[in-house]
Amino acid sequence: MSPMMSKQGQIFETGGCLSLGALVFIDALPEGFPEGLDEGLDTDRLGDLAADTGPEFGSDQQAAVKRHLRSCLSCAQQATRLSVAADKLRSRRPRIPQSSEARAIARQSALRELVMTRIQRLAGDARTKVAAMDRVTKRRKRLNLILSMVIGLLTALLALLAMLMFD
Amino acid sequence: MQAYGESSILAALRDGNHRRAVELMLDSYQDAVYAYCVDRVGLYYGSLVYRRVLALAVTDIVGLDSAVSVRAWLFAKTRQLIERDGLPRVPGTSELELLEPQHQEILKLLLWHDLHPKEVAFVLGRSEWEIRQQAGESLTVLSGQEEKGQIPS
Repeated sequence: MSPMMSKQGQIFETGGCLSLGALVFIDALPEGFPEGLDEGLDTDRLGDLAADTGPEFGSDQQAAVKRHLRSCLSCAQQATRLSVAADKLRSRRPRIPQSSEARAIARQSALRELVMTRIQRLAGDARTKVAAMDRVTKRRKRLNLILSMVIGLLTALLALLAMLMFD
Repeated sequence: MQAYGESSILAALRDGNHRRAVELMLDSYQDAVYAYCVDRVGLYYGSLVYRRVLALAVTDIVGLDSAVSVRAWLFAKTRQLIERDGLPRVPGTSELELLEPQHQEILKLLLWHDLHPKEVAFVLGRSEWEIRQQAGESLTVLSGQEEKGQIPS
């Protein structure tokens, strides 16, 4: 537990006001979590908070934090203040538009990159296969050489035997 | 620009349809990545980083399984690239300049780029709790400054 958390826990446990910027800030958070990935997230913001505070607060403390946040006027005021500050900041978000032409060029170049990656991957696979075939061919050549040497030796041996017999 | 959502992108990936996944990813988040790049390092470097991030993303798309979301994964890639190249941060003109750069970034990601705290935590490699706490503290500082009249309301 961090010193700050410890202090907050102490204030909380003595029944005082939490005045926790982070806890009351939950009401100023953006909504836009990507669709489809919110499974497992508690849609109840306090529930979400409880999950978040897991490592620092026990379940009893989490429940008490929830109760406190619902009833404490000071925390409610702080939450409102922070929400207003967040809204103001959000309204000053700079517009950074991208021209449709630039967007299309970037998109094309990214898709080209995808094609290039695929080609490179295919080429890599092909190289691996060729190398494997090369290895097989080399082995076969070596085997052929050994075989021809053995046959040569045998032939020479037979010829020698024949010469000896006819002598 | 139509946002198709994470599930469509992940479904296309699961089906092994990488091209479709890449197209959906671009349709959904191309503009967001561009805005983040330009916001971080200005128009010139931002445009260069943006192109590189997209190229990197399409080649690495199979690796996004471990990310909290595709959007967070793209933002994290952008940030890594900027940090790796040591590109300078572009100073802004808003009241955010009163805050430390890393605190500014948390608020920007939350409020300007609309990332969820879980996503911000992933992008910055910190815990969600730290992100929420820091954002709350930064907003408290900003609202305090505004009350003192140091920021025009």
